[in-house]
Amino acid sequence: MEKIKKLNNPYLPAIVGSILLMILGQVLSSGFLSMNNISSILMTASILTMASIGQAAVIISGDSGLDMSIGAIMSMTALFGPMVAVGSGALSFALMVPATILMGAVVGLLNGIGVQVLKVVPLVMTLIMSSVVNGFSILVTKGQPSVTVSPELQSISRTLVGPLRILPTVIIILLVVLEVLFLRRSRYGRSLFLAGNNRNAANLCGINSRLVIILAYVFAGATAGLAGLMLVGYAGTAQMNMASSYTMLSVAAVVIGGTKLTGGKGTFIGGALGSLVLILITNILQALNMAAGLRSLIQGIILIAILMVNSRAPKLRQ
Amino acid sequence: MNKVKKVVTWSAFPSLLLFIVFLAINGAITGGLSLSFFQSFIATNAAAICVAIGVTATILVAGTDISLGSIVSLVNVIIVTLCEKGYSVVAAALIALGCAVLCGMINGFIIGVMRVNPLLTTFATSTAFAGIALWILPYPGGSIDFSFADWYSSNLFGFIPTPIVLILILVLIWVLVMKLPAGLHLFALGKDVKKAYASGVNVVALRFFVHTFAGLAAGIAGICISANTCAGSPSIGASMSMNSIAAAVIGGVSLNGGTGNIWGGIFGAAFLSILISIVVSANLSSFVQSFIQGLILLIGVVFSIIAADKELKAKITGVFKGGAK
Repeated sequence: MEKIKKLNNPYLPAIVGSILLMILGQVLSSGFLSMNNISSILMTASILTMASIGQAAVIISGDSGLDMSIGAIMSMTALFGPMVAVGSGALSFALMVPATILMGAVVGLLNGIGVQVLKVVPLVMTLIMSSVVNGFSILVTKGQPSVTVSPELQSISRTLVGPLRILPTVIIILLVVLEVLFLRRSRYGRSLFLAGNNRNAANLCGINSRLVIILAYVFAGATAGLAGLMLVGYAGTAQMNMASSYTMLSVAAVVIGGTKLTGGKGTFIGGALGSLVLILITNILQALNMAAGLRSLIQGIILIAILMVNSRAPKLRQ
Repeated sequence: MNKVKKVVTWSAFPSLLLFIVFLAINGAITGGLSLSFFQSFIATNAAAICVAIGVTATILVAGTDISLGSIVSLVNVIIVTLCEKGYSVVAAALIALGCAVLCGMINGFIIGVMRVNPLLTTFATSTAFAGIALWILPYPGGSIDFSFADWYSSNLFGFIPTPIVLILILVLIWVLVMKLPAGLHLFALGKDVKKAYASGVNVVALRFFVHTFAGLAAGIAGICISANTCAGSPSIGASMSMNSIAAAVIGGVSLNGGTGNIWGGIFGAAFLSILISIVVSANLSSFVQSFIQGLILLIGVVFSIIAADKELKAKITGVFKGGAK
């Protein structure tokens, strides 16, 4: 009995799913589980993981919280981040990181204020914010991004640590640190869960839940900003709206990882496992050399199947 | 006084006001409003209005549907491909409409019967539908017989423009449903699922119906946009889903469900459309356009949310009561 209970944890579908997908990938195209391919899968998954961490924080904050501007923020910082050029390449790279985090955090702050002070529903507020941010990117770049990605920035995806590339390694360490020290142990993390679970109770406990939720949006914006920089470092070039698909992918990753959209519960690690599942699906379909449309169709069907298995609402009849 | 109060507190009132104000601004910029302007305005934006009607229906039951844009693209692609294959335009349009309703039914089945979250479901199905559209027609291209465009820009019964007739079909269906007990059930479901279920509302059937209706709306929108452009593109409806949700919110439809009506969606979409045409006709550089559009959208949504604020409403009604004394 104990064992069955232990098995029934929120990570299980994502873990089983990624193992099955890896086996399927190996069967369909040999060489899928080669070290090289695994490291490239981890690389792309770590970018999505970074985005899904912020998304998870917003979803945990409750109040039907959802950040639909993540893709737009990522696209923006992917365009603007590499523009930072001060002195040597290494110095400007060191400045790019805080700069992109700051850019994302500002957008996140606007989101948070819109949601908590102006009381616009999160879905709509962040959606509109994403069109504002996209418009802003077009305004600044005049529609023709001319981004040169410095070798220092590109090295985040090229440098190797043992058999793995450096970025996934850093992200995995960061993920565990954030999960344990930020989400589970810190004062802020606990108040975030309480605010997401029951706002009234949180307010009665003396937590400024409005501020806590606004900070969750700021955090989401900051992680998305960083994810954008990672994306451009990996891709090597920047285009308009290059990250627009990351918005819904991050939501899907968080949900596959066992977080409920109602808020008050959730993990960062679940989001990382969900990202791995999504990236594996894409990777297998790409390895099969399918037409883009068919690939998207199969992706959709797999997603529906996962949702039907994983996140059905309880029966109304009790 | 009572009538004025009723209009001012109507949930779709802010969007109607916004629409009229921006219509006037547009008239001032382009130098007067003509009948031909209205005709081309309706012809261009009938699709957006239809999608907004469909989305509003799903939002009223505390759901949402972000797959409608993909269904629009799918309908467009199906019509173009069938026309190229030698089908008559009417047959192609009807087959495409059937496919759109089927797509809506799939959404309704997963959300209603399988009880999966509407946002995630329609995200997944939108990926699938857009995939089918891209599979059928990988690149923009193809053409439809121009008789289709002639039919679309002509007047039915001599005086009603065809796009309006198409929108009216949706409105009529919706108004009829509102007259049935199901209409009341819909709002009850939007307000509180558990209480509605306990009172004997058929939750599954209503959700299924609402998404099927949304599919039909997207199908009609697809026909409108195909007739207007007479060309095929697998991503023609991509931006429509999100814009239609914004339109519904501007129209006073609460995303928590149970508040608002489809007129809000219609006026919200009309406002957004006129906004786009103003930004285009204001001779701004094209790089500024999308930024300004986003800003005005933001202001519009904030404005309509503040307008729907209960405390503010109480103040306004207080002013009118004071005036009546």
